[in-house]
Amino acid sequence: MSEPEASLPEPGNLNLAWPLFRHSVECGENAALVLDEKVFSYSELASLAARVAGWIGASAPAAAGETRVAIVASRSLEAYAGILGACWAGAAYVPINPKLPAHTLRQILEVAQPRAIIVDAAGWRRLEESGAIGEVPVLPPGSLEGAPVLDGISALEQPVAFAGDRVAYVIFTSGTTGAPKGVIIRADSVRHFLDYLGSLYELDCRDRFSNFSEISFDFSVLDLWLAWDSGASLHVVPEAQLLAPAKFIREHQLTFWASVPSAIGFMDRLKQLKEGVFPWLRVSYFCGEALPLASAVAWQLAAPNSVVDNHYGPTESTVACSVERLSNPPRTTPGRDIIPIGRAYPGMRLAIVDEAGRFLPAGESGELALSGPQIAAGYLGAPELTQARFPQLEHPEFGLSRWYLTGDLALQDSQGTFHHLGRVDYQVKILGHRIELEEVDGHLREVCGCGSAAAVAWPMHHGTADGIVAFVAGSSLGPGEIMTRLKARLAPYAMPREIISLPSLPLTQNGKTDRKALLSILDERAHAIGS
Amino acid sequence: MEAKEKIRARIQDILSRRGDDQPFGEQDSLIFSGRIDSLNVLEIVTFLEEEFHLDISEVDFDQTQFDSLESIAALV
Repeated sequence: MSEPEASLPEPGNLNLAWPLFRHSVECGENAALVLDEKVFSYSELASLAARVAGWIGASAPAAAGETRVAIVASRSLEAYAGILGACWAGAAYVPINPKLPAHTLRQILEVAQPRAIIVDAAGWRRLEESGAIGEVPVLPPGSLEGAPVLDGISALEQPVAFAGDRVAYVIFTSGTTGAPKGVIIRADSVRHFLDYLGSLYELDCRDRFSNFSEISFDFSVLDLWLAWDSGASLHVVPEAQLLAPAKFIREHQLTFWASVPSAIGFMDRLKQLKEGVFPWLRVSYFCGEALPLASAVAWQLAAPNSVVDNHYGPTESTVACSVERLSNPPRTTPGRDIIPIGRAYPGMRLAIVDEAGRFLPAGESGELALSGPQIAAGYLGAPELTQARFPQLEHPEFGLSRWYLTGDLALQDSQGTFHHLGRVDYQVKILGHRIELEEVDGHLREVCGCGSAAAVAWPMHHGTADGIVAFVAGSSLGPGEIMTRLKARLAPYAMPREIISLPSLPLTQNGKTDRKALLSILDERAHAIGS
Repeated sequence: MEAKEKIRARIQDILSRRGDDQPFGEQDSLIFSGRIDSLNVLEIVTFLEEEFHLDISEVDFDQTQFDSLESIAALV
């Protein structure tokens, strides 16, 4: 019996949907996606993706240049089949969280200019609120479960050829000016990332992957594509179990766990990390924020057969570009009780630069700069910002090349390991989400109608914030009204947890808002009530 | 004060700190509606441990158990 022609590898085709298609031909019965206890095989998922791709081709015929397809969905069949279908059709996908306020969704769509939009029920509601319906073709919710929209549209048989220099996806992150930035990632960057992890972890179709993060967060790039590269199954953690997913990990006997480290903190606090509770786990991939030593150790105890890896990387480096494995005894970052960010993935480079872009030797702290094949092509529709953050720099050893300036403060120790020391700006991380405090300030000032407003991240543990507290001065609005108005503008994770009114805000000598003084107000208050 | 009333007062306190003065019914969703966040859930857990000696390790924790006043009260 001859192999079906479609199963032959297609050299040079970096379509992200290609491996899933190949598995659907070679081992189509295997589980590809487990969603709300429903199992979708590789054949089933490939056939859904082929139908979505057919719809994209019919409703948004590709003109010259890049086609982008937005997916406004969360933990739904539309989210996964939508992303796959977009790739299958040869489009770049733009995943968007339906929990974002309509205002932000509108801003993102204006920059992204998608030729088609795929939504689930939550995405549809948000899209209606944003007033964006009617501008581009939308595949409505339920279309994949028998609604007549796809009737009469022929499926696209296999993923189209996709060259490495084309855009695979655009993921939006918080921007200082209040407008989200769309990070453009090319297909060859994703391939570099996936190939390295594939070789590092020796994955196969027996693996069972978690999908903890939203599709709009680039962590999902790892979950989806690494699982489907390997022929493994992807298990979507339901929203109701996100806070403490220990039960889910056990019930699904996951072998590969990937999440932000705060997930460990919650599970530990809820006393779920009992010794040996996750015997099947063999890879634990943490990324997105600092990994505290205590969390890493607690996790290792619960998952004795797993490697515990701390990966580092901003969205601009295609998920992650350096790694440190928890060792015994563990290495830590001096003074911070966190696991170092380790060493660069093969092919990637990490270096420390000063404010003038000059490279600094080991032992000196400065801004962390990244270079290599995983570096983003830039920010969508923002050439000036792209030029500022992705400069050409002259390295004494490697010569002139393109670097990404992360805004992270770091140093390399004498052994070559990199350590994360904080930020050079006002970006903070909450549950792995990037939040620019200046963006929150801007929205606060606008909704309060006063010039004096500032946000701080508080309390901080190991360089990661629990939440945001906002200070306002001279606003006629009460905290409740301010919160209500902010909700229309800020993502849920960027919302202040409390709003404090002061007669005036403390200023630094330069006349800027003194965020340190605001933090000490909070520290003193916490101290006074003894918590 | 009844357990449920104590828990109600605590939730009211959390909501008002979040600038949320809307009333809430016993079965109203708190977590999935976005009215409280994960740190608030931990705050409620700590409160239940201290006030009612709840052993959280005995509860096979599930967010749905913490989503409404009624379901939280059922834990103690």
